[in-house]
Amino acid sequence: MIFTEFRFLFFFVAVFVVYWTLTSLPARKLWLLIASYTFYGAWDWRFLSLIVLSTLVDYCAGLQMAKDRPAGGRRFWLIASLVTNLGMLGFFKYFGFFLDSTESFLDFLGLSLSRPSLTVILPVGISFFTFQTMSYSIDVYRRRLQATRSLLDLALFVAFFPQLVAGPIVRAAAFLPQLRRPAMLSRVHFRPLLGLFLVGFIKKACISDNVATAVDPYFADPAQFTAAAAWLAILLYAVQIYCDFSGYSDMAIACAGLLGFELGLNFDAPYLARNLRQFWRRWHISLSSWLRDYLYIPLGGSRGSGLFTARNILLTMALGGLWHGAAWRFIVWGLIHGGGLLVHRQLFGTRDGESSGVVRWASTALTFYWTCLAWIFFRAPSMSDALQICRSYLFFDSPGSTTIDPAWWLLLAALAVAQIVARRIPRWYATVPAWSFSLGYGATVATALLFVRFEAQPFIYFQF
Amino acid sequence: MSHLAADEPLWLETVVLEEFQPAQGLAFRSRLPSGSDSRWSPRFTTVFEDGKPLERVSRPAVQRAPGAFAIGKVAFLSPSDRSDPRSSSRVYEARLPGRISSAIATSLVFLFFGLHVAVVLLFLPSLLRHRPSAPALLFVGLALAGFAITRGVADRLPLTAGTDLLGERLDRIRDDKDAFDALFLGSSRVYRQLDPRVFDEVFAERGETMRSFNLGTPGTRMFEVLDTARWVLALRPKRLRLLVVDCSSDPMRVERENLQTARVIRYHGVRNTVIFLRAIAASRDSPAEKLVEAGRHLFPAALQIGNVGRGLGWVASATGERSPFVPARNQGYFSLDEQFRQPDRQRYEALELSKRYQDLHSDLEHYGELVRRLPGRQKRRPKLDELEIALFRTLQEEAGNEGVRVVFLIDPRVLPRHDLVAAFELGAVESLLRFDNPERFPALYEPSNRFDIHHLNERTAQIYTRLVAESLLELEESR
Repeated sequence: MIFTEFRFLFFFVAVFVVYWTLTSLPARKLWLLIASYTFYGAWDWRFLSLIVLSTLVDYCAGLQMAKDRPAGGRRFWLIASLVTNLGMLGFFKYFGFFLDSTESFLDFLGLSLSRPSLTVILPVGISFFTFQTMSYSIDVYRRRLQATRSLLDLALFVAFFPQLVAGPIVRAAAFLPQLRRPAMLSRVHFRPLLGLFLVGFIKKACISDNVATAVDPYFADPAQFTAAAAWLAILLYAVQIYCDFSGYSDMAIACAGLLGFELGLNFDAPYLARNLRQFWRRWHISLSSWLRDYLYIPLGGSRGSGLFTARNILLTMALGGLWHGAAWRFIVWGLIHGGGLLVHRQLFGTRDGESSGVVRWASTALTFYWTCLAWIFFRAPSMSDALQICRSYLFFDSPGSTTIDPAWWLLLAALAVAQIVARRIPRWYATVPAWSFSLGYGATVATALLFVRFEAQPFIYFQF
Repeated sequence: MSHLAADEPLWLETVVLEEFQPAQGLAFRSRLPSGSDSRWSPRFTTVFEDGKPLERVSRPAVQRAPGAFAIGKVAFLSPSDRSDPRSSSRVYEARLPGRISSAIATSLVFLFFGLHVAVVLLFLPSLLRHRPSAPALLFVGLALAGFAITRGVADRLPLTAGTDLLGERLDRIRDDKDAFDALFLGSSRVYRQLDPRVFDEVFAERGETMRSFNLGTPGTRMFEVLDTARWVLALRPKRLRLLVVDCSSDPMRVERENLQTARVIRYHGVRNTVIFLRAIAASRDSPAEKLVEAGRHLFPAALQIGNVGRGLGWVASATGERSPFVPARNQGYFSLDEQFRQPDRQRYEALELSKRYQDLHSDLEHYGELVRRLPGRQKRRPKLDELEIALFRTLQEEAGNEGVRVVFLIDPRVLPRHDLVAAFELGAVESLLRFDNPERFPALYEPSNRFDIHHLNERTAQIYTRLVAESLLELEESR
């Protein structure tokens, strides 16, 4: 079940109506938990066991860590939580990758591996909910968060359906307090939330899915295309992945908001960033802040020599890449970003720098160029394909002769303008008269539906 | 340790697959034993080849690569070594969910909906207390009005229908609506076998002006024919005087894989959907089957009400998106031989056509048996389909009101077409031209003149088109 499907509309309306008609807080939470498990079970009910297991382990670990135990005892429960969550993630997501890599390495050494016949299916959203639960355990261990005594609260925090399968990654410290006070329908800001849902829908169903028709053929066989086509396909992929993922986040935030919950901002016009440091404060904000707080800073952050900081940045970004997918391409993607961050740090320190005019636009363009270089490794089907595409992107050199219709350049320009204009939309929602909002909303829905592809495409980030 | 996370339902049964029939592409099909049905969860059905699972793939994929696919009571498979399961000694088994009696299934369906009703009733008092205010209702009304106005405007814009095989040709008709005297409507038996150029030529030889166009589309049934005809008639084409129809039986059937296609959405307007629902309600299916069938029509209907995807033609034309379909050349006609010759056709299509060709020519005995048995099977008591008869009558009436004559065809087929014959004998079909007589039209049944079991090759399609045109001229003269 994805947000752009008809059945989600029915599902959400049912959840919304029942949720707001219930008056008791525990009943509301129970209802949301049932709805969340149903939502996840619609993919594969068997993997619900992973969510339940993760919840139970973290619940027990949290309570044990909350007791006044010696540090060793608390550490034991933290390790138990991390081993469970990382163990699940490692097995379901990285088993094949490590097996393939070991096999290749042994093959290189002239040895052979007796490979077990094992097919492991990747449970949807496992990277997201395991990171969420780990943040809970770590925060309790660090005594930055009080362990919850309510299993229902923790279960709902782990499984809350709007952000369960593709984020934003919500911190327990931000979400659990919202479960303790009853939400009120009168405090729900319907207009901005409905508007945000529609913007997310348009990004995903009207832009991302349509752009995919130009992007997919290129990445399926990049050697057949010209260098100009390569450029166009790469830029369009940047649009596609942004619209796909930020569209999902918008819809998730809106759904949660309509149920009275506030999820943090996950995207803030990232392609308008003037440097990579800024880019990572605007792109998938919930993940980048998670990596900063639970990986980069514990590794030592920038509290050491330049070499030590460089190691931490590269390690964090490489692991961030690996989080996205179990393949070397994703590690390279992370390292390209890490390398860019290091260069920026070397040149400008931690300052963003105040600039205006041409310099500002040039730095935005350069940041976008670097981001697109990294996207090549993110999207290419294999490392050899990625290197071939890099040749076209960096040296404008390709053996192919197939082109992509130049009209896509115009659409690309239009989308760039839309990106700038779109930042004003939330303000517009809040200020226009209610009657014009209603009329405009209906008209926008009717227009958006004209451009929805019949075959709904799964969200790209569902695979992570 | 194997297949740790293989999809498996709670209980399973294994059945041996036998009596394989060639299907499209590389695929073979086998009926599941009586009582077995993969319908409830086709994704849980696994086909084993000598004890090893064949990859579960989509229906188009099984036509071009090894794998298996199950739908309803039929399993499709493509052997791993591309051998023929009828002659190979390999053992094929299907593991599928255990049998569920229709009583249990119906109870489950009612339980599911009953729970929904119970939830609504449970919360109804509370809902009534939260009655929405008048302004809130007004704003919802305004939003609906905004939707309706925009939809109405979009309907009047020149939205291209050209995102599918039929749509591309409908665009052609709309752009030049007064150019045609005759249109061919129906299934692949029309699309692959009636060449408008030959048809026009025969009329020209008799000194009559004729310009025809082929709107046949594989798998078209009578409802789609009626809808397409209505679309054309609504254009008020000045010269149109003849509709030639040859479509598949079972007028309401929609294949699962076609549910979201533009052509199916196109004819699922409110009016047709109400007819479908009424017909389903009156059928003898179990309640569970009725619900599934109703959902199958409500889904494309909802997509039509929302105008979903109608603007994609703009995107396609603006960006030069290459259509996967053949453009409306040759006056809409596209023979199987020509498609087989296309250098840019996808490989699996060529494989599929090659397989279909081989199915006929490698087993002429089977084909000969079908032809020999045809006259006997045609004599059986015909089955009457009231809905289809109503559709035949409606088409003839609505076309007649515009001065357009409808002539139905039965092509040189090897399976009898009882429903159409019954309708003709009943007087519900006014004009029927039959070519399903191997004794009268031996050339059309000659294996060397056919592309596959069900279709003529290009050369014979021209002969057939000529026969159709001459028969029509005779029909005109006899009137």
